[in-house]
Amino acid sequence: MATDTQDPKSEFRKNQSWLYDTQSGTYVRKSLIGLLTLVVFTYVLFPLYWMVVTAFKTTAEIQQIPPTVFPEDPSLQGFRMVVMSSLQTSGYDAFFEQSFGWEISSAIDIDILTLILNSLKVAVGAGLIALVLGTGAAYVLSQREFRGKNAIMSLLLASLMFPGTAIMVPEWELISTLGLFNTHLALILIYGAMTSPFVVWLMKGFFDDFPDSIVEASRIDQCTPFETFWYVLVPMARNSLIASFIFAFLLAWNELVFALTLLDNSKFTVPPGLLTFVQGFNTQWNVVAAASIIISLPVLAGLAYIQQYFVQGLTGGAVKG
Amino acid sequence: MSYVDNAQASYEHAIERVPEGVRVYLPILPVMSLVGVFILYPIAQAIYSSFFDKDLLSPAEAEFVGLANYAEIWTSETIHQVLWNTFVWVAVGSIAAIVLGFLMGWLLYEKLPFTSVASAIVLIPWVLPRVVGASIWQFMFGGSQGIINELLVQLGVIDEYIVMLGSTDLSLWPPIVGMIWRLAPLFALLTLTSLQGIDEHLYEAARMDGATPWEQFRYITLPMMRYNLAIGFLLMLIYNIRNFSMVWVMTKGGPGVSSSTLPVMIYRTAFVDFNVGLASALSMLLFVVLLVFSYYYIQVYDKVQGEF
Amino acid sequence: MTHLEVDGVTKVFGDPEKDGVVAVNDLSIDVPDGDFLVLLGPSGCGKTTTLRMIGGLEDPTEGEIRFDGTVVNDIKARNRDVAMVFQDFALYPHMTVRENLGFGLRREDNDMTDGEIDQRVTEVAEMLEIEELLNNKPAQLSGGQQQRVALGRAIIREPRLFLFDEPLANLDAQLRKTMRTEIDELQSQVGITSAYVTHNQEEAMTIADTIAILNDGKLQQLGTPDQVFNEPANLFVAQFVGSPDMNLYSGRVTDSGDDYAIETDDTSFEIPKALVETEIDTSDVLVGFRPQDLYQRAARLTEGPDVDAEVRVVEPVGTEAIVHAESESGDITAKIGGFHDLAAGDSLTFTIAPEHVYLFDAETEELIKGRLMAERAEDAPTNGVEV
Repeated sequence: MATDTQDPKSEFRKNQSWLYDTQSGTYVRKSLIGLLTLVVFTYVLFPLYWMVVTAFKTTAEIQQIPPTVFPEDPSLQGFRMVVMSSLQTSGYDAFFEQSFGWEISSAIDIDILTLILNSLKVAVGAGLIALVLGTGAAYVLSQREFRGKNAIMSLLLASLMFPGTAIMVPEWELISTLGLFNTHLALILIYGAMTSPFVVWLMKGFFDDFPDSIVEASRIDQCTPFETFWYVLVPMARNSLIASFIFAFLLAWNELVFALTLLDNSKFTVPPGLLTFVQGFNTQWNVVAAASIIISLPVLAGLAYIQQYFVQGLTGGAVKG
Repeated sequence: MSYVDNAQASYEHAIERVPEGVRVYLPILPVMSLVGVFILYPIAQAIYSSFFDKDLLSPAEAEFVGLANYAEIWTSETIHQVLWNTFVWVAVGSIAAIVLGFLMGWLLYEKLPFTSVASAIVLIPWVLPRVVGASIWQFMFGGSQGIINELLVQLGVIDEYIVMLGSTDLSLWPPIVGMIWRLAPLFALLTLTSLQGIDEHLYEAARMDGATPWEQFRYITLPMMRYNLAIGFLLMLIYNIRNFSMVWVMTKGGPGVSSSTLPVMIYRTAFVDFNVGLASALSMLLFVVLLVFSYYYIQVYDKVQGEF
Repeated sequence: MTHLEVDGVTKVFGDPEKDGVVAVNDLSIDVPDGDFLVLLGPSGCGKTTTLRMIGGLEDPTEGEIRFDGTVVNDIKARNRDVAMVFQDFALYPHMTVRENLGFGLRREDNDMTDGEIDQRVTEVAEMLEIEELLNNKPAQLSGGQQQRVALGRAIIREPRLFLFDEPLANLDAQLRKTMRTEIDELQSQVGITSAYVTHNQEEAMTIADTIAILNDGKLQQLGTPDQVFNEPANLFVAQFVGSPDMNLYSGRVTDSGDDYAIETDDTSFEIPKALVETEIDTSDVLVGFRPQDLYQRAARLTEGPDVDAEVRVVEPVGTEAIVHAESESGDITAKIGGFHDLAAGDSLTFTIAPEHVYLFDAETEELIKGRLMAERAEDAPTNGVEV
């Protein structure tokens, strides 16, 4: 490489080449990268590890100072108390006592079963609304040209940004006015509204990429429009539809602000339920961690399934590989 | 099939009575009405309420007060403190999440094996229920048994355990650390996706032209990723400024307002102090900032779409 | 078994009154039963639109499409009983090869039982040698295998018409040649009337019974491969068909009794009037030499014109060579067969037999004189010119 000393870049290049071309440079570079990797990924992974080990510690071990990095006496106490408590508050303890002679009693008060059922109800409802309404809109927005299309798309995109804290007060007023306060229907509708723009963007991406020739091939193959839709479009869209549903489901499963402000204890979904529990029993961290793991499992299962759609879904398809 | 054909025929017949120009909007109508009622209408409601002195529990007795709520924002020292907190939160949280996220994304792409499995694991903090993530950090920062206190003592940063979440001086920072933990993986994934989208041949061509690794990064990687990075940057700002759960779970915004950000303040004003008018005025503030971010988000978005 | 007629068909995209784009302009083509028609032209010439109108995927703005004399304009694609092979194959990605093949049969009201359908699928798969792939999904197949499945999906229904929309465009060169032959054989085997769209003139020449050459939505010429090569209706067809491109020079014609005297910047020569079908009533013409028809003067002496040129590039193609040379008035390309020892910088003289010279009217660009095959040229003085 010709070195021109007038060029500041070549000076830089020389400085650089020490890092890249010499033995000691390589050594320094590699250890730096190794150290960075270690620090960064410890930051990400340690809290997850901490949640898991805490869940398997006994209540006594939780309170030790300094904390133990590995559980000395691994125990399912935390999980057991979550399950028992749930059975008790749901009134199943009598059934177990009579049928199996098990005695269930727990000082902890978290009915995780009911919380999960409430969340399921809301999340599935919102997911279905978003899926059905969003897919139809996405099809039209992808395949047709009409006035106001860009405005509608921008509005939908913007509406992904606002929900939650910016509108929690007026939302409370609206829901009270509609007489939907403390109903799951209120959450289903709001979550449906929050997630359907998401589904529109995701499904629009699918329809944009859908080859016209496949639809034409099915017409040539003597399909009625309904048969084309049912035998060709739906099966091909299956993965995108499932991903859309899971996105909507996860949002509804995780949402705290509206669930906290629009529901009472009696109707709580998982996030406000867990929050109340954490704030009430913050010495029993093994139970909290166990409950956390239980309610995180559906999310992790969903993540594994939709990982490939994640970036597209999060950014409304703005970021492509 | 004949049943279906008939049903479809009558459906087509009904549809055909709607004028051509209007028909295309029909499938969009349900989504737009849902979004209109539950997302756009409340924004209008907030504008209206922000001009009233209104109690959450007796909204009927609301009294028009003009700009009094905005005047309070202008003068209240407490709110100034909250706004400063919010600024620090968004600035520090976003920049740290971006730097860390970019680093993680680059490491995943360049240096680590099992990229797809590793990126799924890295993503867990982002997808974990908000309350769960925040609870973990609350536990880790906790005063009496917190592992972070122990870590700091071991590293010699402090001599004995200190109360962090309950300290007026320190309480803003633990939630920021938790938030960076939640957001950095998202930025890492955006980075990874963009890196994977860059054609290998470009690097090969650059190497032929004698570019050093740094020059390849500066003249190929960064320019190719610029829109994706801009999108990621705006998302970091948006997620940070509208975050509620991380603060609320860890500190409830306290002690005092030492760790309150704007969303937490809105919640406290409306649902603890029942002052809907002031809460609405604060919401407008948050809304305007989000509007600006969203505007740029859509601008960048359109550019990206145009490029592909 | 269908006699396909395209009669006065016009297709306008957008509003015909305002800024509509005319894709196909008053096109009439008659395809006899069992014929293999190739629609040939550059991209945007309207060939694919024509094919899609025949298939029922687009509606003609004007004109009629008839199958065996019945107008099918208002019959939907699914009721026309045609089969189509798409450029991107358009296999259903979520179905196995078996399901892809059987899909069309299951839609028909033909009362076939599952067993019969299965048997038919197996037959077709054997015919195309894809029986091992029946349980695979399209994504697991190579390009050539996908192409076979797409063909199978068309054949299996025994439709009235086969439509091919650039079916070989997505395959590599080697595969394109094999598939070309296979499609040709398959079509003559089943004898179903076919329409085939391509922009590749070589493909069209080898596969077609009849070629329709389109440009800007208008039919330029309808004829056999020989006809469009030897008797191109106009300059466009002459330039589009044949490779390498025809050499063209502007020239002047004078009547010198028994002959027409032609003069270009490089050369002058005479063409016996017997070789020209019609009276030439213009003085300005375009003179065309096919590269294949040019000879080195030293190699063979003829009565034709000679052009002095200097070799620039020699491209050897096996036993032949394509020679790019520069004459006084421009470039000249020749395809020289057999042994040669030409190199860049050599001077040489090209010549051509008068019967191989093309003449076009410089103004209308219509053909005045085509290329006569050697044996016909000998007959020409007595029989006149008929092709």
